[in-house]
Amino acid sequence: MAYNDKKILQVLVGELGQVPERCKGYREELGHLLGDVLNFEREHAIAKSNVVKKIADQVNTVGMFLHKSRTH
Amino acid sequence: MKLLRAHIENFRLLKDVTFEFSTDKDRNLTVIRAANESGKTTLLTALQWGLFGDEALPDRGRSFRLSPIDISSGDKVSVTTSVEVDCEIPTRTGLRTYRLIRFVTETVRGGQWERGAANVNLFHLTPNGAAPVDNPEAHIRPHLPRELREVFFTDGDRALSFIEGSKGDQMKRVEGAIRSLLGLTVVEDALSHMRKVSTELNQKVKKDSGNREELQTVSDRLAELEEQRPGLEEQVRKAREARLKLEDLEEEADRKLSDALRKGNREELEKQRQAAIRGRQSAEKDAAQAARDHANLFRSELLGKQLLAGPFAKAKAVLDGLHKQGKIPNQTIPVLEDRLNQPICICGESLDPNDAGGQRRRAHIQHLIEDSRNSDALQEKVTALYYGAQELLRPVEGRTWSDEYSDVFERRQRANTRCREFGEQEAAIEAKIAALPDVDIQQLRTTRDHYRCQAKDAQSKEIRLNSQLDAMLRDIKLAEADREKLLQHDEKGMKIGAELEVAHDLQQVLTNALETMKTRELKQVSDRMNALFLEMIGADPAQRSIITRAAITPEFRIVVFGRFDHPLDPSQDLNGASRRALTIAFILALTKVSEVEAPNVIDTPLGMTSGYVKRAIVQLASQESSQLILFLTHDEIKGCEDILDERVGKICTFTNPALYPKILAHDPGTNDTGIVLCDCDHHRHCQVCELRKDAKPREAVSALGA
Repeated sequence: MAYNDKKILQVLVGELGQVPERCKGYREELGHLLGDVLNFEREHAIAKSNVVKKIADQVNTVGMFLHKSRTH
Repeated sequence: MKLLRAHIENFRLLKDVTFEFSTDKDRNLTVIRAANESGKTTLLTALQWGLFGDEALPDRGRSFRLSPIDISSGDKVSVTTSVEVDCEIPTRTGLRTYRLIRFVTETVRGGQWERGAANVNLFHLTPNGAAPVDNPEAHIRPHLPRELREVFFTDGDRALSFIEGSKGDQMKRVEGAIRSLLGLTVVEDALSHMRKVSTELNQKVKKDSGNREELQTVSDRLAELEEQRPGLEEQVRKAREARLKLEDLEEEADRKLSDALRKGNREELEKQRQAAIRGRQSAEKDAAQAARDHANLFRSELLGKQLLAGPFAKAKAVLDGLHKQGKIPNQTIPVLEDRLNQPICICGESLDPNDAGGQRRRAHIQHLIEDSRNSDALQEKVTALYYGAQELLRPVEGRTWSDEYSDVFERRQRANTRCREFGEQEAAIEAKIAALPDVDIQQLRTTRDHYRCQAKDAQSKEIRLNSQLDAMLRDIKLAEADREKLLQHDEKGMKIGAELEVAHDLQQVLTNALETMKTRELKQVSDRMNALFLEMIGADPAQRSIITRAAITPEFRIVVFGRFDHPLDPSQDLNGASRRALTIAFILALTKVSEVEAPNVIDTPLGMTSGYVKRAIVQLASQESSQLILFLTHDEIKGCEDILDERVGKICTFTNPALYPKILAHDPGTNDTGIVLCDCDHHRHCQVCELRKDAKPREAVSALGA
């Protein structure tokens, strides 16, 4: 990439720290999700794909994690 | 990314050249040394064509022939041009080396040429060989975004596009470079996709809401707002662009008006011309009067009196003597005649005619009268002269003729000078009027005011749309909160609610990250650019430097400030050296802050610079770049040899054999126009590259023209 991933990640991680810890391990899960989203975008730039569907699936996974943590 | 090596074939002057770029961290500078007309700009174009394609060519390649110009025989010839670039790209799994080859065939016949479609191949170079990579453009583009072409590859003049041209264009270029290098685009794309995910989740809520009317209403409302949101955001963006464009037009119209007014207002000049004519006519009248007075002075009594002062003095003495003697005035006859009218003579005797004594005396007086009458006609004339010339013979007192002459002469001179001055003034004004473009000042003023008015309207519209967008975002937030509450009623709702929360959190992270990058990171680029720029031009704001700081505004515009924080227009108020320093400082700052490892390839960056500024640019550029590639003339290198000694990792010299004998010292023994490459550095020359020491620039230029 022309841009420096490290630089973007530094900023994103900084912002991630501002998100409320909605359940134990939530921020960590969200961080993984963010990493996945950036990977999807990188792949999408080289070879087009249904990136929205890919992201939605990951959001669903983290959403389930959040829901289960709240109900158990 | 780093450039490793390039091989170029049949690209105009570059018929077959291969050279390497330095990748040494401490000696990160590669120098291509070449005299003018020796392929520097061709090399820059070739590298860009190799990496970016036709869009990097002048006129996007439509009228730009790639094959060597000297291939122009009458027969049809096919020439293949190719550019091969090896580069090193960092990936998650470490550094990878790629070879990008772009080639195209041109059919040349006489002066005509036709170009086919270009081919691009990308190979992953490994110790085991070269593995082809599918879809090379898509693969290479993320590493070499088009917006960064002007950041990575530039020449001294083109770099100025960041600070020259219309305000809108400048901002677009600066914004494009910053967005690409800071990676804003990937975050924006992610945000846009996350919004779509949220919209889909909302559709799911709506679909699953069943008979829960309240939830359905909120979902509908949210769907409606989200649907309107991109349109409104686009309107805000367009309104901003329209406002900037109108401000540009207003500025341009204002500049035209100022220029026209500086050259002269036709109406105003006509008034001045009439005043000059009136002045000249009045001076001419005065001069004519002075000339008449001058002439009259030569006919004046005063001149006569002064010229004849000597003889007049003598005459006066004689006449005064005669007067004293009683010879003048000749009053005998009137006195005697008067006596005859009296009864008594002055002696007291009777003059009575009836008396004999009286008669005798009267006869005597009558006799005396007759004698006097007959005696001297001359005496009469002398008497007349005595009395008539009293004024003439009186010595000149007070102002002399010379005084009068001086006055008239000066008056005449002054009048003539005024005549000439007014005449010259009139001629100068007429020349100005004649040179005036056919510009209607009033029309220009109207145009400027028209744009000013439109720009104000556009600004109001932008503010209005921004307020609408803010209100919409507030409504979305409220609706989202309502939806969240409503979703808490059942298990299914809570699941979707959790997903929406995740999507919302992620959007918030991306939005805030974008804002941070646009503000904090932009400020870092701005501060870094300012420090580099001031250092390059040797300005010390604490002292009395004219330029005190440079900055990038939140609207992505590069601005410069002078003393008392007075804003300066970089395109107009900075000299050539400072303009180059500013743009190079921007490029270096952006590369540095983004922490992107990218080559900075700059053609003749030191034109218009000398001394301190020149050395500072080379020194700082090599310090700030991860890989710096400079194309320099021999003159540009002069004075920077010690810096090159310290920083250069690779250097080679390009020579154009066609420059013999005007510029080159030795006959290359060929008529070929292809560039010849040698390993000579800034301390050495060989039989191929040695320049004549007495080469006269004018002769050289005319020789090239021939």
